[in-house]
Order: sequence, then C-alpha cells, then structure tokens
Amino acid sequence: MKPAFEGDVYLRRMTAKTWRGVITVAGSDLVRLGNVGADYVTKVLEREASLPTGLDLGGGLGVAIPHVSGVPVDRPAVYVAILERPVMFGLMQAPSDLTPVRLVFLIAVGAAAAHLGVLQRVVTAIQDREFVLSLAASDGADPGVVRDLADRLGAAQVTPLHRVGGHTAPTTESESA
Amino acid sequence: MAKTVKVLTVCGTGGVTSSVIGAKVKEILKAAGYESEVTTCKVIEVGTHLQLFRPDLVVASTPVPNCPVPVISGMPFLTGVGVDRARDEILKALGDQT
Repeated sequence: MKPAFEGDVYLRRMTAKTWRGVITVAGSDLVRLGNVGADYVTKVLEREASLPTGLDLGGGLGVAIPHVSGVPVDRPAVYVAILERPVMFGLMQAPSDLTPVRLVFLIAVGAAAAHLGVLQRVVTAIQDREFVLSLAASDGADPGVVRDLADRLGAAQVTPLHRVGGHTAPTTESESA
Repeated sequence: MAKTVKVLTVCGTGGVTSSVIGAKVKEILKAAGYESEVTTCKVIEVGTHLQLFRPDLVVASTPVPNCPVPVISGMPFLTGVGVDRARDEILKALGDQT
C-alpha cells in the first residue's frame, strides 16, 4: 500500500494557448493559495523549456506532468488543469517534438520521497484511459470525477478552484508566447 | 542463482521520474527471473554512472546520446502504451549480452 498524499489537490478547468500559459496560471494559483513561492514557478517554467514533460498516451491524447526536484515548497500540492482546448507541450522523450495535451498535473512537492509516491499515483492514474477521458471531459467540479481523482491520488479531498471565493487568476491572454 | 543485472534509469532532473521507471523495470526483471540492481540518475550524470556503476542497460525517459550500452525508452512505463514491447526489448537486450 502506497502512502496517502498529504498535500493539497486542486482541480481547475481553464483555457490557455501555450504550455507557458498553463504553468503560469496554475503556478499563480499555487502562489496565491500559499503552496509555493514565485521562484518555484520560475523553476518549473525553466525545466519545462529544457526538459519538457509531455506524455503521448496515443490517439491524440496527451498529458503533461510538469515538476522540479529539489526546490522546496511551503505546502505540497498537485494541481490538475483540465484544458478546454488542447495545448502543445514538448514530449519528454523527444523534446523538440510536440504533443497535444488535454490534462496537466503540476506536481509541487518538496522532499523526493513524497514526490515519488505521488508521481507514481499520477502515472498509474493516467494509464487508465477511461479515467483520463472522463476527467478531460469534465467541468472540473463534477462530484463523481472529483471523488475519483482524490481516491486515485490518495488525497483526502480535491478542491475545485473555481469554487474558491469566486476568484481565480486570469485564465487567458496573460501568457507569454 | 540468477545473474544480477545492472540497470541505470534516467530522467530529466533526477531521481523522480527515473525512480518510477526503475520500480517498473525491477518488477519486470524479477518476473523474468533476474536479480537486479537499479540506479537512477539525471541525464547529465549518465557519463559518470556509466563509468562507476557499469550498467548492462539504460532505460530512459529522455534522449541519451552516445551511450555504449543499449538504451531502451522508459516512456511505456509512464504512459502505459507499449509496455509489452518495452519489456521484450529489455529482456532481448539482456539476453543478447548474457
């Protein structure tokens, strides 16, 4: 039995044009919610630029798992972004190739051991195509989908972000190319 | 006692994605009757590990250029796509050497 994930899990459906846009929006949410500092987001952007994390699940379905190791966080989190329209991410195994991504799991955890556990859970979850498709198609608030995501990541709960005080970071047009 | 095979698993920034891949590779090797020793590293450390650890095989989630031992893509262990083929490639690469 893998240990449960004791960090926060957020879920948000968003529109973005570029991978930088996705990470910037997700990252600003994590900064605002007190999980990471702004420097963490910078590191994730740097890493994604040189060593992208796009995974091609086949049949035009892709996910990305942006993360960095060894950069401290204030409170561990996995931020799940459902992309309204696919966004191109570089492929992990071939950084110059792009894959259309529907789901992004931004994994912000500090200690390597904790990181490994939750990354294993994310990897196991994304190998279930039915789960990936149902999450990608959801509005990010459906109670069944939210519960399923929490169970798969071993989290006590998942926080759908658009329900947080009605305020979230800008979702579009705020990104660099 | 089966021969112990040494596998180096490699990812971008070190020890996280490669650990996920390493755990799966270890399972495969165990199921195939191999004892295995798995070390993980980031891609810029491959050269050092090739010299010190002397792996029989590299399984990587990023490109590993100019590698003197067989390099198998570890992507199937992340995506679930092509796991059987990757397992066959790993066992074939080891079989060719032993």
